[in-house]
Amino acid sequence: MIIRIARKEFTEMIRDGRFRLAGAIVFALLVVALLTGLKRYVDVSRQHAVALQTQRDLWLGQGAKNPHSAAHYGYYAFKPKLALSALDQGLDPYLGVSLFLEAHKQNTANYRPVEEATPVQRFGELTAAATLQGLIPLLIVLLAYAAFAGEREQRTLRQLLSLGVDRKDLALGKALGVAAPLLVLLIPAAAIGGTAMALHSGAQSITMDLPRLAVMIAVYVMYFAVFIGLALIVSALAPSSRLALVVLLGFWFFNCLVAARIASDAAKAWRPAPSAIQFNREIAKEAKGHGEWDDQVKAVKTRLMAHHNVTDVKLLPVNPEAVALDEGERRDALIYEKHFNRLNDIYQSQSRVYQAGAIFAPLLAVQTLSMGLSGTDFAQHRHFNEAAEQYRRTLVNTLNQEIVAQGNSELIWDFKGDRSLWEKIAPFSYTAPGLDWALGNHTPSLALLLLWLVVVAVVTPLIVARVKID
Amino acid sequence: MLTRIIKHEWRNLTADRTAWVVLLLFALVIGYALFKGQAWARHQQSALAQMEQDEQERYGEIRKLIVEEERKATAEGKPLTYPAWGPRHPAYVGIWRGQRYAALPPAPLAPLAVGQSDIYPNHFKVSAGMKESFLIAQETESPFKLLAGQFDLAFVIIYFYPLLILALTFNLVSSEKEDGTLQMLLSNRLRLRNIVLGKVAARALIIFLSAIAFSFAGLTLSGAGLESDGAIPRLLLWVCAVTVYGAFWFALSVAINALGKSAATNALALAACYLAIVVVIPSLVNLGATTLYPVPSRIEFVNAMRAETQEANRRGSQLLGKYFEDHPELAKPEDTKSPFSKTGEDDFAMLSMAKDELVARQMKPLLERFDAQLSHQHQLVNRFRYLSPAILMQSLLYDITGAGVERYQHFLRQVDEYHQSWRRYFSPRIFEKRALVSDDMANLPQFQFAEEGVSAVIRRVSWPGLAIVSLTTLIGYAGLRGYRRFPVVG
Repeated sequence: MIIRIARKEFTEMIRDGRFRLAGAIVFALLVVALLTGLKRYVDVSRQHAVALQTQRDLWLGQGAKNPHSAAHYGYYAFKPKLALSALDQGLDPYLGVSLFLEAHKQNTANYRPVEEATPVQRFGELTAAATLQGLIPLLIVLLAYAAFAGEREQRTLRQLLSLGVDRKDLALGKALGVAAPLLVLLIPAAAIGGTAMALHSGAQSITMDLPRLAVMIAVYVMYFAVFIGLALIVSALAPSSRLALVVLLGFWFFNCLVAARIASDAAKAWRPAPSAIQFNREIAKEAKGHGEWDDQVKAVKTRLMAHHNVTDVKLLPVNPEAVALDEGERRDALIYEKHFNRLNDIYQSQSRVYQAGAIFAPLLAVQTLSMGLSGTDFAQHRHFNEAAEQYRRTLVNTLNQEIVAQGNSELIWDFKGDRSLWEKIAPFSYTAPGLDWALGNHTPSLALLLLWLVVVAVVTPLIVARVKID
Repeated sequence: MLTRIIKHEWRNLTADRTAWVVLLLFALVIGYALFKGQAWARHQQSALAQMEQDEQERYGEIRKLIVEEERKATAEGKPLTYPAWGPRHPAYVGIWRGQRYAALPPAPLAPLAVGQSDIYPNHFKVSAGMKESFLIAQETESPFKLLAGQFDLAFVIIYFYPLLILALTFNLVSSEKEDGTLQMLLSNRLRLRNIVLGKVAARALIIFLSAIAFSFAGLTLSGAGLESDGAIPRLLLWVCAVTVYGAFWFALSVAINALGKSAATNALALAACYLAIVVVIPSLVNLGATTLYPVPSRIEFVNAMRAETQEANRRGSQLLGKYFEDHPELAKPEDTKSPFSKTGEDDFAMLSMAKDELVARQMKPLLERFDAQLSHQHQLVNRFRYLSPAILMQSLLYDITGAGVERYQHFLRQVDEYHQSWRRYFSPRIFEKRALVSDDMANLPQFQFAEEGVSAVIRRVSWPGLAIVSLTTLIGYAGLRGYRRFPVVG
């Protein structure tokens, strides 16, 4: 019976010219989004691979110079992308792509792509994720708003129920009837995307992200199921199909265009982040770098002389300036770490508040999960930045140690390191953590999406069971 | 007759509870948006204050150090020589501790639109070094907020306001037809076109008046200071833009209603138009711009700059000779014979100025390629924005409020000039080895932003404004003509 209802609904939908037109448009948009997203991923990955090599060559080929000069010359780390970022750009346009690793200070990532975009970008980017999150629900509304209200208006509901159809079967049948046309649209799109991906970047990159992709598909399926259930509930309760449509479109508008804005406002109000100026000033109050250099050296001198029990600086085994440099670096690194951790913690608790907004709008749960799985969320950005910072410390500390190793020489600043020293520092490489880590950052979203699903699954049959016939 | 229809409709609408609920919602949304916009403007203002404080503190400190050195020298009776480093060294101030802010004050109508101001940095710490060293943006807004978008009045006008209009008009005639009252009305020697016009006029009056009244009430209540130059003419432009955009959606609804379909079909058709205009076309235009004119990779840019810096470092003291050739005015007479004389060779500040200039010159072609692609993108968007009134409206509102690209570029040009004058101040001092004296600290070049004139804004907004007006007229006219063939029965 369920299958029969579903088949009837499906046939009706497929024959409906409105749905065919809307479906074709959404399909075309989805395919365009998939292909352009893929192209962007392939381009960026290629640039990335070249850039890593260039960075390394520049580093090794910098010639003989003082190790501290080399530390100031520094290294650039570039954020890699996961293959799934082709589907969901997430926060990437709003976060820097390159990170300058230099002596004395921890920098924030620079060059946010959005700075180089035109203002139309603010209307939202056409990505596969945006299409799935915004346009598919709209198709669901179109498919389902008249499911009960329409039959009631055409007086076919009474007839249908007089046949003795079990109401639970009716609910499930209607739901499947809405889902089937979507599959007709989504499966070919996914096939095209998958083939293009395999052709472009080799099957390897897909299989690597396969678990993430599987969870992502599950997340979107749950989201669509929630929307189908909601649409059926509204259609069953609404006195007219017109009202059902208006209510559903209103909810769509709130879910897709308003909720994110309000949730992010709430998140900001809950845990306000300091302004860039404030943040930098607070660090500048503590971190010294080369500032007050003479005092820094003097303190080290006194301490070392007491420790080694000598009265002349010349009798020390090391040059106090070298020690001051090394110690200063380690001290400042901790200060930066403290401030960056505080800031990143604020952003991550903002993310949790934002996710909590999914109580009102399921989109927020899907959006955050989707970008988490695509490796384009804030947690991923932070993880990369922290890995790069660890690398920076190794790099600078290794170079500083080389200066300390020169012993108590007055010529430490004239000492020059060469290629063999630069080679001591391994190239920077980064791998993103796995699926469980990615999901762990979005437990509120996952929990709330499941809650929505359970509630809708329980409530829909109940409402359908009480559907008014006239 | 028309006024009677309007009056009647007005009474009908005001007696309806849903209209009041809709208006209340509208008031709440506008209030919230203005509250957020005002908070953002204040946030920008407080950043300015922090900058000023930071600068004053640093300058006070530097001055104190200079005065101390000067006093010490006088006390010891020694002449002050050019220092190797320290507060009196021009590079210490010009490149490091004394870098001065060039800040963009909040836009004239900042509380009405956040626009691009949450993306573009509103200040730079200008240095005598190369421009690329300070033109790097710091994050000014949390990335979540940037992704989600701002809930400002521009958002309400572009997204929410059309929905209200559509909600009030999608069953303009169809409801009368479905209730059977249309035939009755038309039996009274009334023309259908006039009925439609009257209904639209009554609704437009309500929407326009409330949009404007709520906005002004919100502005007054939030205590937004609009005393900056040109705020009043800009506000008038805003009101015009909002009215024209509203008129477009009314016209569209009239045209869809003229097809004589059921209310539900009207609602669906209008929802589809809304979606196309506000969501789909803009994202396609964006995609087109970024696909046709992709900005060269920043990663490559970074690497190219690194390579140039390395090259400049390698050339070392040789560079100074080249530099003096380019800047004979900076070479002292005794240096001209041997430009990279001993005086300059080990002076890192001179070297650094020369290196910066070389790197900047080498990077110029690449930077120009960036700018060219970006301006191609902008041109493409400017051409294709005529495809969607929502994009037109966005550019209108951003431009009118001053939250858009144009005012920002106006700012960037001034920053560029300021950077030049900052360099002009410090580079002779570095090359002539002239130390700073305490009084110099009060006389360093200062950045003063000159606001854009309203006439320039009017020139820019007139075309897109005219485009919406003519589109509205066209659709409205076609729609009204359509009522001649309106199926009153059946």
